[in-house]
Amino acid sequence: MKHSLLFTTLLVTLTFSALLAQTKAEKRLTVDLNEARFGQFVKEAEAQTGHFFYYDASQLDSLKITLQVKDQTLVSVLVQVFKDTEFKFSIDDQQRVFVTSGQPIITQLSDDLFNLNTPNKESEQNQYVAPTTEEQDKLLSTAESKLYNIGAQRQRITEGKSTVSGYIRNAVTGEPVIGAAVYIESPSVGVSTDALGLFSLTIPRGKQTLKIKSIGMRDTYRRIVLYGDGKLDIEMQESVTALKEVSITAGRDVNIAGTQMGQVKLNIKTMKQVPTAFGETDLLRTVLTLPGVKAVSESSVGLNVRGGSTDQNLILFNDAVVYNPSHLFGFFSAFNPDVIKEVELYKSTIPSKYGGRLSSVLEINSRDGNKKKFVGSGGIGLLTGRFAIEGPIIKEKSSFILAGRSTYSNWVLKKLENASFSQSTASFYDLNLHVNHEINEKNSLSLMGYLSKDKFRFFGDTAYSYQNQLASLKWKHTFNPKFYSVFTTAYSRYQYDIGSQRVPTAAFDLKFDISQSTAKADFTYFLHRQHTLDFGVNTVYYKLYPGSLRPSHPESLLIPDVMESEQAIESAVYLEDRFDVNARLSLSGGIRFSLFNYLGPKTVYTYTPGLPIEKIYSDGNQTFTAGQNIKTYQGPEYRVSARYLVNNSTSVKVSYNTTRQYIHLLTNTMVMSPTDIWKLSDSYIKPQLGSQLAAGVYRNLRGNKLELSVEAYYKNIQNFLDYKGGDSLILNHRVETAVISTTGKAYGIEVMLKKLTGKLNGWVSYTYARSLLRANDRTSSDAPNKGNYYPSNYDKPHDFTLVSNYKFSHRFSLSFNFTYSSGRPYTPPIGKYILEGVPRIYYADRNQFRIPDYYRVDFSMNIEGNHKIKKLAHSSWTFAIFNVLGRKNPSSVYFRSQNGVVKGYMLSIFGQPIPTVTYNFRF
Amino acid sequence: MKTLLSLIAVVVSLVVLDGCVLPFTPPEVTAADRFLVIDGFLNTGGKDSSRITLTYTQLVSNKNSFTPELRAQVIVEGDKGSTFLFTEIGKGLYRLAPRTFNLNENFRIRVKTTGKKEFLSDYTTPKQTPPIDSITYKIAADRSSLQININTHDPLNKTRFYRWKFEETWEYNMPLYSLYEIKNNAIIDRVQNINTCWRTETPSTILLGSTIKLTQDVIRDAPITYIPASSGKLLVKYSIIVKQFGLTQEGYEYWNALAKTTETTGGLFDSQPSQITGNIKCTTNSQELVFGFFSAGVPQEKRIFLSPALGTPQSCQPLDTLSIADAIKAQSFLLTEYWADGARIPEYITGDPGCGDCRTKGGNTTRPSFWP
Repeated sequence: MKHSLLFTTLLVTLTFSALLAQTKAEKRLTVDLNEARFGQFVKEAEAQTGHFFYYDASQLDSLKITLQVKDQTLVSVLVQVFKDTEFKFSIDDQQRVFVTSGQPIITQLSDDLFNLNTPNKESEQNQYVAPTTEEQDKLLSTAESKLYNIGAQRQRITEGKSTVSGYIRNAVTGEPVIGAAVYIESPSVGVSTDALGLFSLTIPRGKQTLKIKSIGMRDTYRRIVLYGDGKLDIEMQESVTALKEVSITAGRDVNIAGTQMGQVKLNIKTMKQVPTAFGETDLLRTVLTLPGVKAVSESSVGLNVRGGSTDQNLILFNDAVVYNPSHLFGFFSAFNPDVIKEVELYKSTIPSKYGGRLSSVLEINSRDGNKKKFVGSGGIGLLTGRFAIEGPIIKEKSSFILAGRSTYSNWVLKKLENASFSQSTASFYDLNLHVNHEINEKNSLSLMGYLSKDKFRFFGDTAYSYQNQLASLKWKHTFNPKFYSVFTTAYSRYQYDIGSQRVPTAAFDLKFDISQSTAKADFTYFLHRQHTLDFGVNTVYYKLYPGSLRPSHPESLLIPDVMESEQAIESAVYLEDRFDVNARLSLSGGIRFSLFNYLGPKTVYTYTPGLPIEKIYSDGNQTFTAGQNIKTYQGPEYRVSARYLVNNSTSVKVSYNTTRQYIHLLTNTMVMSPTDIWKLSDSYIKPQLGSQLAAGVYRNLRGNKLELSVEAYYKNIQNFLDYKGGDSLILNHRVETAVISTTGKAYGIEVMLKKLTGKLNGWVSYTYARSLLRANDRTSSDAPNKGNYYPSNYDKPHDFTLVSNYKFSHRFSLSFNFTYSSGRPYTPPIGKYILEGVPRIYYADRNQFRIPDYYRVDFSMNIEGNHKIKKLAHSSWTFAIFNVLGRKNPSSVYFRSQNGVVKGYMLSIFGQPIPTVTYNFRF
Repeated sequence: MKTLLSLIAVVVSLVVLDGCVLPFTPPEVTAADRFLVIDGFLNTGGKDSSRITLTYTQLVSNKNSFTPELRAQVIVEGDKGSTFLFTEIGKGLYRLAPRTFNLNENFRIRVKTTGKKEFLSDYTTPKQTPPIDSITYKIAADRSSLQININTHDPLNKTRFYRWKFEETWEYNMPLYSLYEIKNNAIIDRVQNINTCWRTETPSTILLGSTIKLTQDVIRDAPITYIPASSGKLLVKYSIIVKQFGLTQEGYEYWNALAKTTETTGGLFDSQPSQITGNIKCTTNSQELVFGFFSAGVPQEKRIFLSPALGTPQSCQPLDTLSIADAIKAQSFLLTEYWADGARIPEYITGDPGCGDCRTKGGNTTRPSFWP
């Protein structure tokens, strides 16, 4: 005992103190403590009241006191301090305070001692609890069999609920396990861990068994005795055979019980099962197998989500926006499969914390490096090689992962005998660095850097190159188990460069550059058992160089043409509340308010009011100085959704979302091209506005083995840009005159059946969807199709996808995929005429015909090395055949008049079965 | 962009497969309307006549010749009051004899059809064209091809927009010489030399150039055509005549859009086709389409001859030696006589017409008037 030495000394003075007791007992106490130690409180109390405390410091060191009282008696303060704890106190008449665990010290005999008729009020409190729990603790030592005491232990557990919270981590790598389900079975209460691996579960006090499940991890449980609010960190073991577990996870609970709609999470293991043309695991191609996600062409990875265009997806790589997610024109996606952990797609309910794009959010997270040991991994494919190394910096605290990927296509090109190919070059590389550090239980930092570069040149002539640079720094801070936050800063830059020196007098260098800096703070607060609040602020600064053309040779006669830079700030605040009304009904309502300022310096052309924005109606210009506000756009975005649980295996959900987008991709080509340019909303180009109403029914069949979901949606898009025929978009100083503003609508129904467990797993989906556009100014001569609705380039009504994987053993599995979709629309030639003796064709209304239907079968086989835990290197082989049937699926059709004859052609890119072999290793 | 499309071919070829292009026949479009096409320009040079052709559009699949518009009224009007009436020659062709024009005047065309429709173009400024400085050529280092380029400049820096058309003619010989032919079941000396032919082609490619982004109005080495040696055009003698047109900015944009729509659409990175009509509108019905771009100016032209002797001559062997009766019976293609030892009448050596008759290669035996 801390004060035990003083004890005897004080006994001597007892007599004197007793006299003072009468007067000092009246002394009142004022304290203001926050998470203070008990000792601190004692100091305050002793100083203010003259009482003296006796207690066992080691028993009380876990007690934290948060208290704010004014002018209260010591007794009432102490009652508050020890409320809901096992500690008792007694004060004797000599101003000595005795704090004990469990039983209070009796300082005087009870008044009722001799009155046997009065029921003993204290008897309940002094009930005896058998010490079985402690004995069991000693007998059993493994985490699962151990009984954990959560909260301050007490003699008797009062009825009611308390909150247990903590982190779930991977026992081997120390990485947080995200999306793990933590639940108790009776009553059925469950939550899943958030992005930090944190869970917070409010359950009835008493003895409970927490069950923990997560994909790719071995199921585990913890037995606890819940006395009060407390903390429990849980480590999970990875399931040794990764193939055993299922891969797509919107999580069992989430599908039925979550309020989110149209949200799919894919982990790297699923991605590895989807065969690709070049044998390398491709994140975006896997996303393309999901219902509601389409691409214009099979060689493209520009995503069209639910009838939205490719620029309407917010692609975040560890919170940094990715402008061009592809390598080599879309043959590869920009993400190295070695560092990806998982990807989450939101296509319907977009959480309020995301904004700035209309159609979807694609959140890609890289994994943390191994916190315990150094590990290397890599792969060798037909065209690319990759390598990653990871390991701890400070063991258990911080780790890094460094990964690189490159092509050897240049080497292959040089080997080709065809002269035009051997003079061509095509290559790319990307580098990833991810460092994370856990400062303490409440703070962690993660830093990400990404760099990619593509370079190609045809026949020794024009050279193209483009690069992405991304960086982000994230600080996660937990204020208390109910309140945590994430602070993020991120930087993204995308630039491209086209140059030619073939003819010195015309040698040129064309550049485009966009960058954005983001800062944001996101908070989550578990306000109440029924309410979870998300709120935050964020701001983005854009800097865009829309194009510069400069001579690149001393003899060049080129006049430099440099477009003025553009800059803008986009800021937003949001608040979202998830309200669990009762066990069946859950509501989520969010509002996001965004503000966009287009800033100077800039010269803006002006046009005669009332006339179309055309060069011929230009009447001058207006100059703005640096930082001067040119145009402001602002408005609210609503994110509302509701879920009703019909029974344990069926739920119905409805959601309504509105979104705003202030940045546009200017393109007049069929697919996303690296030479497309981005444009900020300005005085003439209004922000795109979108709204989506969606409803769905979700049902789990056969004891949750099968998940069936049916979702329908209707979507409206305003101010979407389409292009006047034949106008150039790059280096166009009056880009506003080259575009037409359109209104779009999209609707569809998506049916998906997933099987998550067993030897055979995968999914089958069918989508019916339409996507139509119409010029805003329907009477304009530039309005396509006389101002009527016309199908967008990516309008493919029917889509059927089967993704399946069958495990013969832990080491051998087969994947079989089938895809069918309607052909993309094209504009057919309807007539021909003769001009200067040459027949020319003219085209009908835009996008009125369709190219032939698309279907493809892929097949792959995965062989893992043996699964001995201790061996030098783990390896696996993947053999795949892309397009087994060799169907010549047309990517596009076109018509040319050659030597006086109009001919139709169909271009198919992967028109033959493509076999590939990839070797992956890890050591 | 053609080059971008090529990249796809390059990348795909890496994995030893081809991004293949297949013929494609679109579904039949049946009910297309017929629209008027006004083709031609006002030649303001004073030396040559101006010609305007009026035809109608037709279905892509229609193989008949284009229907002309007959008995229409074709008038060119100046904004300073002058009017010129074209006279009908026939087959939809209307002509205006050479005359001098006020070059400070802007002109437009007005067409009234027998169907009581009236079409009117925008006013266009007559555009002077500077002469072609030179037509040059460059033989590839491995002698596998030849590139023809053009050079021009406008010292006044006023032309800025150019369009070129060209016509190529080449002389070629056949490897086997035919001295005899069968006529009325008799073998006679060949009347016409069919060993040497001339062939003329007018490719439809729209060639455009602009110096608007250069400090000087100078076109240097603008590519006109690329001729592979394997085409056989360069073995004996080759000639090209290039016609140069100065364009207005609107004219340049029109031809550029037309080229994009009819020559380079459909590739993954090409812009989408759009309806290109021109600078003429129907005044009686604004919804009615009309095709064509009316312009005024004086074209320039230049011809060069070359004999680079590129390519490998076709190699051929005679087929047989036949008696007169057999040769007549088989209507063989005869090369020369063959006198066997002691024979009284000759036999004839025969060959493949593809080796001896130049007309089978698309040319004709008439020497062009401009051929030296």
